[in-house]
Amino acid sequence: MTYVVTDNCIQCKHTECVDICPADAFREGKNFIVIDPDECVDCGLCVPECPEEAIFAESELTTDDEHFLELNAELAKEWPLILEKLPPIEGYQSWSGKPNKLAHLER
Amino acid sequence: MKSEYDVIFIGAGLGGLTAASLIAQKGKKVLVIDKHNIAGGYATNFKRKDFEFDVSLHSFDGVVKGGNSYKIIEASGVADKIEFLGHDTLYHYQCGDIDIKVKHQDIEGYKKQLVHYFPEEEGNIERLFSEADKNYKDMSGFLYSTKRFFLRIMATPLFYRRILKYEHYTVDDYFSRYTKNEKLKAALSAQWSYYGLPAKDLAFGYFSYPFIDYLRFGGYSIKGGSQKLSNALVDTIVEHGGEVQLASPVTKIVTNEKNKIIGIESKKTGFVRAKKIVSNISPYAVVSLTGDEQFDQKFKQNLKQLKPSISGFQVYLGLNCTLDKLGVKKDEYIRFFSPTLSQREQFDNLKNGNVFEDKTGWSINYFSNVDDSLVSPGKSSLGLFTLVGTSNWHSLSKMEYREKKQELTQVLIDKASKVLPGLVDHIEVCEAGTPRTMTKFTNNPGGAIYGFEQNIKQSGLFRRFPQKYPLKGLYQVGAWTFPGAGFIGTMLSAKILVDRYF
Ligand SMILES: Cc1cc2nc3c(=O)[nH]c(=O)nc-3n(C[C@H](O)[C@H](O)[C@H](O)COP(=O)(O)OP(=O)(O)OC[C@H]3O[C@@H](n4cnc5c(N)ncnc54)[C@H](O)[C@@H]3O)c2cc1C
Repeated sequence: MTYVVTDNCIQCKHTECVDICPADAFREGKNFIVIDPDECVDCGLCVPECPEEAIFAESELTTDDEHFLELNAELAKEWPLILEKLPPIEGYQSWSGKPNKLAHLER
Repeated sequence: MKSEYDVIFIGAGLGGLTAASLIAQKGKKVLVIDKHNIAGGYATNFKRKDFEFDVSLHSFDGVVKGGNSYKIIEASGVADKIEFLGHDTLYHYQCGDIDIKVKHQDIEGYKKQLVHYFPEEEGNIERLFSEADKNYKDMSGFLYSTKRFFLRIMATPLFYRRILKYEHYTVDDYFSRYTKNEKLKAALSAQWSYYGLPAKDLAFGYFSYPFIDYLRFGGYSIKGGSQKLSNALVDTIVEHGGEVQLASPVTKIVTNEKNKIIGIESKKTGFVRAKKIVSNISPYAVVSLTGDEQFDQKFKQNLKQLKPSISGFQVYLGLNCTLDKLGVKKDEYIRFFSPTLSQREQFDNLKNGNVFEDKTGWSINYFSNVDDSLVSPGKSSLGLFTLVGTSNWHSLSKMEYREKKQELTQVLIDKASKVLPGLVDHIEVCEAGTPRTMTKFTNNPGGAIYGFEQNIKQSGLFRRFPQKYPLKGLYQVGAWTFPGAGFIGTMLSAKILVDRYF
């Protein structure tokens, strides 16, 4: 099992999740963060922290979101560790809650 | 989800769950709501690789059929759902030349060992236990009485008079009535870390019930870990028509213009109505969720003056060998190490974070010796525990924090390696819970593991933070209120709350 960051995070990236994570499992990209499934200890603390409600347990992913499991694993290998909370992306308000932001993901 | 409940519980810790179960069984509609995605607060398990660990439970006193403490297990509807595993050795205590192994339900054997080390104190030891037994009886009489609560209070001076007699006693005051021997007093209060204060500051009233309960009725683990107890309570609540909503931090306690409670808010549930709310979270959080202006100055002043308890640091180790490979016998379980005699000195060091040298007490728990269901065959698990001050952890940057956590983990492993040569070669999983971890998982301020400190000003029926707030419809249960922390403490707080107000 692991927890997975999904679409809602893209272009918002509040990083509230980072501070609470006891396993230092988050990895940071330009406009998205992901969870390294090898580091995640399934505690679930990050879920209620996320203002965009972007984080789900693997077992609770909808079929539409299932591909985020692989995407998290893949990007976690490339992206650097993030340990401290950062300010959200400027102008995140206009992206908050918008569906299907994957096209905007910057790798 | 309904839009209205009779009672809403904020926090699914043991206090909240037990009270919810008691009230649901009375036919009331209850909702328990917790921020975390698993129920139990400190009474939860976690997994790492092949190993599962109980976050908190070292020893649960007295939970054996026929014992007093078992009554609350029965009343909360979980007696048939969980199994308790007795500890062959209640604890093994070492301090200087004193080396005492207290066996399961063997108070006479324990006294004999004390007399062996302190032959001149034999009469005193006999007398102090005789009175402690009577005090235990008074306490149990009060706690488990089936009489209405106010009748119980009225009856206290007559039938449970020791509760009042020792109200202002510290543990040390009590033992000092019988002996001047510091070593003996330290041995008698060997379990002081369970209560979070040294004997000289710890309220006797709070200590005295489990003190005898452990010795007479034994210490226990819950088969499968304390998560099993929490889950069993959830099941009972649900069986009686109640609901448990997880992963939903309560963001507001809502009052109307007449200062009466009308419900709670959380992001997930929105506004949910209830005339009664029971908090299982810290009173500080209650004030901030309700709004500071809802409480009068006197209440806030009192709250400000109360001292929260100390925190703890636990290293959870999963080993790739069985414990007997390290020379640990099957009947061993808890070991308390006390490098110096003075508990107060140790406590001051612990509190200030001076835990890196060999000046402070610590303990080992051989978890898998009691419950091997949480490890794979051929493997084992144990815990290394120390109390530690709540400050000096929360303001660190993540890197500094990581280092400090690593450093203290290493200190405890080094200490344990002296007792268990070869330990380091067998560690497969190593995890540590710090004061910061405690706060992360429970929101308890500073990572306090025992609610408010149990000094004589903050302990007991009349001095503990009350179960009823000055706001109509708002109550408190769990470690922060009467009687206090601990598995039995929080479950009893639920019983008293319900006996008294529901
Ligand atoms: C390491 C350790 C070892 C221990 N060892 C023992 C032992 O051997 N024997 C013993 O008897 N006791 C022991 N204890 C003490 C015992 O575990 C606790 O006293 C007891 O579990 C506390 O229960 P509680 O009801 O006060 O609630 P807590 O466990 O404090 O739970 C509070 C709950 O409230 C929730 N919450 C907080 N804020 C919100 C919010 N805004 N909205 C919704 N939910 C919220 C939290 O998520 C949590 O689930 C130990 C504790 C620790 C930490």
